[in-house]
Amino acid sequence: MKALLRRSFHVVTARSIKKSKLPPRPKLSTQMESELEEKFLHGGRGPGGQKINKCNSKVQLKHLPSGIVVECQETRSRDQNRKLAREKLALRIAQWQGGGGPIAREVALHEWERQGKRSKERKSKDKHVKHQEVRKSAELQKLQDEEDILRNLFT
Amino acid sequence: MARIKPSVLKKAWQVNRLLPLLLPVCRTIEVAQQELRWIQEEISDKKRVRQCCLLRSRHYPLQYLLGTQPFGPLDVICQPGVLIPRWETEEWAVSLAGKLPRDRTFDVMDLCTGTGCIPLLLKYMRPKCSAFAIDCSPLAYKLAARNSDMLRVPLKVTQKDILKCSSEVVPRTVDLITCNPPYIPRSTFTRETTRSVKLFEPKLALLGNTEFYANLVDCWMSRTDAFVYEVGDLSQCQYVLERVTSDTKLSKNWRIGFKHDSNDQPRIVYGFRTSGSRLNWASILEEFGDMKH
Repeated sequence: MKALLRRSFHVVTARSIKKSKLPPRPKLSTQMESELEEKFLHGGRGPGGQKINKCNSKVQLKHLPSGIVVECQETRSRDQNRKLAREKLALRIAQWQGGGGPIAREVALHEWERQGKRSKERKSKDKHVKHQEVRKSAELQKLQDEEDILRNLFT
Repeated sequence: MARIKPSVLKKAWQVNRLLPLLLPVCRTIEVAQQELRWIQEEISDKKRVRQCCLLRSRHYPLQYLLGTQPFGPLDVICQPGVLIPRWETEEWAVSLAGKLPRDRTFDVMDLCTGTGCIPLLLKYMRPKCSAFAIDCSPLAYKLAARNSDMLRVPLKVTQKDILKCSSEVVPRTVDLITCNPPYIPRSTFTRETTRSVKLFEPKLALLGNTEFYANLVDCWMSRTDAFVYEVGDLSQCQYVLERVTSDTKLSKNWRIGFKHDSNDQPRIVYGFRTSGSRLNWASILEEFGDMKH
């Protein structure tokens, strides 16, 4: 009964944030795109071309109004790195515009993670309570049975 | 090249036992870690990953191990015996493709195509054009055809040696010729080329000086309206410029320009006819590079 009560109580308060309904990721507007300075860094000042076979390509983006610089060399593809760098920069710009603090999406994500953790804890607690009750009732039953046997013996 | 310090090797070993193998080519732990991640992402078998790292420690190219190289939006298949597409080529090919008209039909021919990366990218980004590719190596011919199949980008590949029998090549005339010819002179090959390239990439696609640029002026300029050729250094740009300016007829009809890559090296010599061409090349290639003639 106790477990049931707590459970219903939690259902009312928790799970207010859904993963599918988070605030959207910040995006680069076309206006921001025009304020960017893009550089490709491949390291070394050598002759290049056919003489060297470089596997990695680094993209560096600078947002001129704020001076924010991000770099990306996560993947082998320059195309992909450019996209990832833009995502990173959009996030940084959104943070900068919001005054340096975390943005709505990050707050929501953080909250979502905490919810997940809380619900996990609650579930494990519920499980323990349930098991304890089962054990207690089994013990009681055992005592009862023993008493019955004793009574039968003496009568 | 400076040796790798034992302390760095030890540190790498503590992070991951495979990392010291990657250090000779990657030089720093961060780059090595990233490369190991790429290998592990593509290859699931642990034994095979170790084998790859061992080969990599002998400077075997990563692209031959993983089988592909990203080229703009495409993933081009790479095989030993065929030159691996370089980022410089990717850079100018993407920039060129972006300048070509979307709504017109035109013919593009790529000489010394190798994997076929350049015409495949142009055709992929401008589906209305027709792309042709030529290479003298049977391996490259097969690989270009395979890439065209795998990427589902139509490309007509021919196997011909353009230095010997360029007159047999069809079509007779095209709108644009692109080429990434072998351009490393023998004199600088041993000194300036990195070990991985020297040991494992085909010399056929690397060694050359001005022969392909001479071939361009002699055979191809009369059959095209524009050309874009990759170069290894400024002397090859100068060679084409001199050949064109010294010929009164060519000098009247053609404009020549050079283009640098983002590493500030001379990378492209290009040219176009000033009159009588199907497309308006002067406006298409307006901001491609610096006009020299």
